[in-house]
Amino acid sequence: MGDPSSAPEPPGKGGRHPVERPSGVEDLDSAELLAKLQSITDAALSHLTLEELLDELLVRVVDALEVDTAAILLLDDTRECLVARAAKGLEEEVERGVTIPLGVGFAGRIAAQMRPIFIPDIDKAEIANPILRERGLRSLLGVPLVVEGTCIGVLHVGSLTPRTFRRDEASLLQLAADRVAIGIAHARLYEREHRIAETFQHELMPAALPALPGVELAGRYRPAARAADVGGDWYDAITLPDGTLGIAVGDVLGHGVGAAVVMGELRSALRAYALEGRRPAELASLLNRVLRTREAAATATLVYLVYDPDARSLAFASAGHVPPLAVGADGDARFLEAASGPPLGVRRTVRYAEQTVELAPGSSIVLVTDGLVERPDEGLEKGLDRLVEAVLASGGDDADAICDAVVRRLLPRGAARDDAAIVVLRVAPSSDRIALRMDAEPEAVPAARRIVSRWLREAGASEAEIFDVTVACAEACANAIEHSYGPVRAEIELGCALDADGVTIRVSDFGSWRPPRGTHRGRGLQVMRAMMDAVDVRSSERGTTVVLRRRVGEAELVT
Amino acid sequence: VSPLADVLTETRDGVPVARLQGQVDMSNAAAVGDQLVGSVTSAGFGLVVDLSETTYLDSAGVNLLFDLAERLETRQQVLRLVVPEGAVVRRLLRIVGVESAAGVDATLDAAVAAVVEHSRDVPDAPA
Repeated sequence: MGDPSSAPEPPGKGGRHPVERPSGVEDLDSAELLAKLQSITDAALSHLTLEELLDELLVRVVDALEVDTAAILLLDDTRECLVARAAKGLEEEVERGVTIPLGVGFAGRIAAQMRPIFIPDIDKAEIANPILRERGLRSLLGVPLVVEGTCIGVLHVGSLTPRTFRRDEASLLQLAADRVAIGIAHARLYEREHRIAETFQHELMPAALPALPGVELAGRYRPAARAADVGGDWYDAITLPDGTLGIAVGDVLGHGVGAAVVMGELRSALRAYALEGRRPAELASLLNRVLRTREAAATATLVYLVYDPDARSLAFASAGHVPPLAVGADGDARFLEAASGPPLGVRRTVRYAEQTVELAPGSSIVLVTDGLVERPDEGLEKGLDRLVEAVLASGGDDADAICDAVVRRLLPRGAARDDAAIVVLRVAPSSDRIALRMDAEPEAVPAARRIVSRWLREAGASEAEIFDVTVACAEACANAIEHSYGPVRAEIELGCALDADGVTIRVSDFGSWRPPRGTHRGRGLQVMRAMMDAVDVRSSERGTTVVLRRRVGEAELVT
Repeated sequence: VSPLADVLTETRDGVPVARLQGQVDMSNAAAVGDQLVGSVTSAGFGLVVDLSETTYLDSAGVNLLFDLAERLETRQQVLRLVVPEGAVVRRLLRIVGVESAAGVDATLDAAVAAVVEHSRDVPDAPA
């Protein structure tokens, strides 16, 4: 079977030769041609996103060539198939996700041979795509999309009535194809940068936040929808050696891989200084100096907080960041604006102010980056108001729920123009019982001791009783931490309850029971037994629970 | 050393004294242990660890005291602990039988005197 389609001229280099058909019609007059050329090479097109560019070019091609359909198909990653990417008058081709094997049919041959193909009569041609016939097309002209000598796809137009294409019309189509090819090449570079920035960003974001007794912590990060806008927003939280919690939220000025790199540097420096025990204001000044020592200037906002679960006190300093929002258990909301200085990297040396506030049980601190509260045509105030509304509407009794509610309300339907991050710290409400989870790490023990001793004091225990019970509890935690030893991150559960018979403390791990080893074997158990009225160790396949009981503050105890 | 605890060292009558202030639990026991070991002089006859200002101690801290005593013993040095009447950690130390490893004194003076006394009992100890 012969090839009824024809490309009368042999395919030239780059397939740029127009298709010549005997035609009685004269070429367009030069003014009209110029206008049409202009419409396709319009510089304004370069400001569009790829999707918009493809759409707009197809509209202009349909208009300039007076055709009924226009479609763009791109070679997939395997380079074996063409996939419909955009279309005008042939939208179902994209909707149905039409794929054409390379070398097959009209578009398949254009791509394989990298030359234009003209089909005067579709009935006499080998067509792989049924939609072209279903649509009632009569004549087709297609050209390859070429980037640096490689075909990346096909642009084709179709007419419902039999027609021919003049040389200048074919040139015009090739010109549009070149424009499309460049747009796609740029978009692919752009996507690659987006992916790199996003990967970097995700690698640097904490996979899990520390779990400390008496405080809930939750965080979310949403990358920007547009490639070049990703990067720069971050948060981090670490348990500090003294049992307090360090929390940071920051925003590096700029976007993309560059901003993600600065963010990585800041995060490392912050962790190092935080682990050294630097207080918020001092740490901010040090990070300012770190940014100033960079060869490439960088600017960032940051808020760093240290929360002491024992005193329920929060110390913080802000370097030009969105102020922390404090929300009481009663719904009273206020922004903590006193301790703010310039962004990091702006001045050579800065002394930041530090503010300390006490947090009531059941209250929350909400930290965000401006991507959550800033919108282009309004002041920051409005965004902050919206944040307060969203937090209050969430009910506020769970850090995760607050994060989700804020993201849902302030970032409707994904299309974020900027990165956005949120961290919520919530102080556990006070009660006659404590139920908490903590990391099965020695670093979590001091905080657990503080929470328990504070709770015992409130329950009316004497100082000697507090010491005894706290020691026994720490021994149980130490056992649980040793059982949880392993390559995966583990948690232990600590429960404290007060009733008429005194206090009951329950420490559970989910590891396997190992009898105490070494020279100090069993000393922890010995201490627990001496300190408490009753010690009960229950082991099962799921883990071990130690239950400790002790009468406390007999005189004062009211139940 | 972590901010939970501080180890302050001085010398009394030629005897190294380490004052352990604050809290020792499994999160900082190793670091505190290193500091205490560091305060032992190889030339001396022992070490006094003053627990008067120790506000928290559990078996992690107790274990480090036993380890320290054993380590000193191999060098013919002694460990004396200062645990005054009313010290927070007094009952705990009695429960674990710390006297089996280290002498316990109610005052710093008594502890220092005990180490000096020990030096006279060890004629061939390092001078």
